[in-house]
Amino acid sequence: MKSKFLLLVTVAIVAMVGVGAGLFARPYTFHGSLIDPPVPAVDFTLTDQTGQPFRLSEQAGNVVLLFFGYTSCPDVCPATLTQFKRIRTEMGKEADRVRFVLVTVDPQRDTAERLRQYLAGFNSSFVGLTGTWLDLDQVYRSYGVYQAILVPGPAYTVDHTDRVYAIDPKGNLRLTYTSDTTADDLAQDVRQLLKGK
Amino acid sequence: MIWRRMYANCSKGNNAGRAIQLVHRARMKSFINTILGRLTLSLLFGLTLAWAMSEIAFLILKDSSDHVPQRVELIIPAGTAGRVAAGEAPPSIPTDMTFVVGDTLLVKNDDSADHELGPLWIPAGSSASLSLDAVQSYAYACSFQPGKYFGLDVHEALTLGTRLYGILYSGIPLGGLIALYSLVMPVKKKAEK
Repeated sequence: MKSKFLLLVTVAIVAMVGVGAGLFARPYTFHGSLIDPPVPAVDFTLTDQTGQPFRLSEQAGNVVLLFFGYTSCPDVCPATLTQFKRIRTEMGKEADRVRFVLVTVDPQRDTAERLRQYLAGFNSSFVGLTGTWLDLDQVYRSYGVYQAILVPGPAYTVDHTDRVYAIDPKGNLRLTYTSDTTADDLAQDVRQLLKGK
Repeated sequence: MIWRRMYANCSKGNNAGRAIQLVHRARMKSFINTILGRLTLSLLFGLTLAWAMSEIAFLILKDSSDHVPQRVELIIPAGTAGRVAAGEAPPSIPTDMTFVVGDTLLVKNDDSADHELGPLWIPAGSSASLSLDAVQSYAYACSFQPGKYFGLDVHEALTLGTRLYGILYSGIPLGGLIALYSLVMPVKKKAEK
């Protein structure tokens, strides 16, 4: 009789704690800049590092982390790709549902082969995209990407937007990030997007 | 030496020694009470003085942009892209804004064109937010100003807590110094009745 009473009390406490946690649980706050309401990510088709067409809308069901950069970049691009690599390692198996995509802002030098060699240094699963100037310019306009060649010459550098765009599994543009967002913060947000939040 | 002899007498049950010990204890107690009283009074005085100085400084230097961290909305009105292309500044959008740490800037895009502000990409008909969590002055690239730049100045919020810390940080050392000063002052003996 006494043990039944104790069991009842324990169950009641657990239930109360559960209800309390549910009532007072704070909703998840994304680390990036939240686009509200989300808008459908503008679709595009470009060529990946294997020479195959890559269509954004075909990535539905996965989270896409989209970044615009180039292989000769001395600073922000390798730093962002290193962050992507960390996220991939941190997320383990979950990262199979994340597409890490680099769209070149330097199509003149970034051929499919060069993109393949460059990305292999980070993770061979990363996608590198290039295309005709016309196709790329359309993508830049759709995502508000600025790119301009600085000091023309054989070893020129390109000034470009360094934002990271997060597209959810439904194909909506949900968040943007500055290049200094930590891999931990990005990984947490990506997990939430994968959960459908 | 004298005290040792006195305590020795006490332990032997000497009444005179016991009396001396009682007198000594009473004097010590009175001395400690005086010191504690002075310390307390000095600290109270120091804190009051610091509070008064802090209030005066606050009233003189008060910044109208101070507020508790909040969400600040910036609306990009319809037709902004057209105005900017024509070199005109949208009248409802300032060229710079001042914030406090902890503020969130919510940029709402009512225009038919997409816009950007530094790290923010704001698709038409949507909104994007920026958390301002560090003291800094930003000059962000911006698509809704003809000058293509937008200034954000973020400074530390002046909260009640900050003011309280200020009073404590200045009041406690001030009280301590006054207490130290009071200790070197001679104790005023009460006139015996």
